[in-house]
Amino acid sequence: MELGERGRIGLVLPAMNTVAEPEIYSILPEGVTAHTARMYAPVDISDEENFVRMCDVGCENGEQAAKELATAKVDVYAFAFTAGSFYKGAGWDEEIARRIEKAGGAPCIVTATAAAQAIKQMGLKRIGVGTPYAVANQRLKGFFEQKGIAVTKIEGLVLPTAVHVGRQPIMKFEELVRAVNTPDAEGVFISCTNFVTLSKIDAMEREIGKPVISSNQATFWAALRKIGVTDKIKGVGRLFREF
Amino acid sequence: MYGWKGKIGLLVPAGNRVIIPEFYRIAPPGIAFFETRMIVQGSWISEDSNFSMIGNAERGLEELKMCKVDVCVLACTATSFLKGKGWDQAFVTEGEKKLGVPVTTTVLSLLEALKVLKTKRIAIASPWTPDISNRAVEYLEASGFEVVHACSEPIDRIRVNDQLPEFAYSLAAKADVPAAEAVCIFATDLRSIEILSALEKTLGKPVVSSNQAILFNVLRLLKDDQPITGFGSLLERPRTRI
Repeated sequence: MELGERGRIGLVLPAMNTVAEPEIYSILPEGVTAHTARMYAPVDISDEENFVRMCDVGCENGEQAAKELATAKVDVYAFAFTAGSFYKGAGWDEEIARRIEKAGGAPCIVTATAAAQAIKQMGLKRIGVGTPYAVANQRLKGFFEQKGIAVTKIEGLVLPTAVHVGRQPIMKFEELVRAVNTPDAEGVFISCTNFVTLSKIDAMEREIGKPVISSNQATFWAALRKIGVTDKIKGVGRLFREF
Repeated sequence: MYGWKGKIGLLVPAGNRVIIPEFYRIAPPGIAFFETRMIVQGSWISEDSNFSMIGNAERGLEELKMCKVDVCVLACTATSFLKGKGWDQAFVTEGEKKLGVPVTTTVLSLLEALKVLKTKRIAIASPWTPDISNRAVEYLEASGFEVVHACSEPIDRIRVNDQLPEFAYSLAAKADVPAAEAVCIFATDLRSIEILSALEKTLGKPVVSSNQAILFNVLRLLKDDQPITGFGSLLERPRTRI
């Protein structure tokens, strides 16, 4: 059997990310492999200026990462950088996809686009949003609204650096889901590919009785579907079970 | 948190798509792997080609430092052999200065593995040209080993990872001679983890692959003794009490 004979996913990741690789390998179906290239980016996200700098520098290094992964013959790129894909508003996410596709010569899915697509495909119009960020919440709210999704509440953990984000225990995810689950929300989205979520998505969906979507879950889902892997994977939420 | 027992950083040649799937398949609980890629010029292994890659290692080390890895590996085999003994130790020293955690290379890991297996006479199998295979022999002999047989079947860099595990199996079987106490299979991008146990049963001696030796050595450096069974006798041995 060939390695990755059903498809190979190229993860384009911010350099400090320590969550996306183990999370994708915890759910990948037999026959699919994932390979990572890193985008150098500064890690300070404590204020607006630094947050934008992290996104700018990270995005600038995206094409280099795609070129590296191209030599590993991947079938799809997953630009797994939520902030870097929403921070300039709707349209920028598609622009990033175009740049990566051009540099790497294969289709690219982007986290922010994938999140909006997952939310819409599940028929959700109003969502609560939780993030690890300190300052970018209005940008994310604006992005979803531009995509036609209303945000009933948005709350951040106010973490000072992107490295701190990767060190959060899974309880922080559970707390965030509860905190943004307003009565009028039809579902919850938890942002950031460097924030652990996958192992507790099912449990939180049961607890709140609504769909829960996360950055990594939506990214992996969009990447797998893009290469025609339609397996209904159990244990990682309604999105993977039904869509 | 992932990697609660240990976070391993891998510097890999940009085209590698074997080491991470092999590691995530067999790693014990609590161990997480993070990779960064180094672009390589040229489709055949040579000093020019491999050292165009090493030019990108510094950036890779910076990136893995941001991940706060507990140990870091230069996951390319031939590079260490090309420059002869001493180069990879210097790479390790520089890397450790930068990262503040243990750094190692594939070949230094291999030497640790052979030490644990108490073997002095070895056979080697590689997908390299005879010239590169000879460099491996020189390096290993300078390190106190006797290479009793070297067998190589040259494949250009981009197609090494297209080979099925049976390629490594038959190459290693061909490399083996009665005088060899162990057989080594080289290249981190050559699939072999699936066939190591079967090969050991056929040959009746330990078989060490590049990736298996790396995993053994990084777990040893992390003082992790969780057993891994079914992927060769090396990984079944204790790592911290030798």
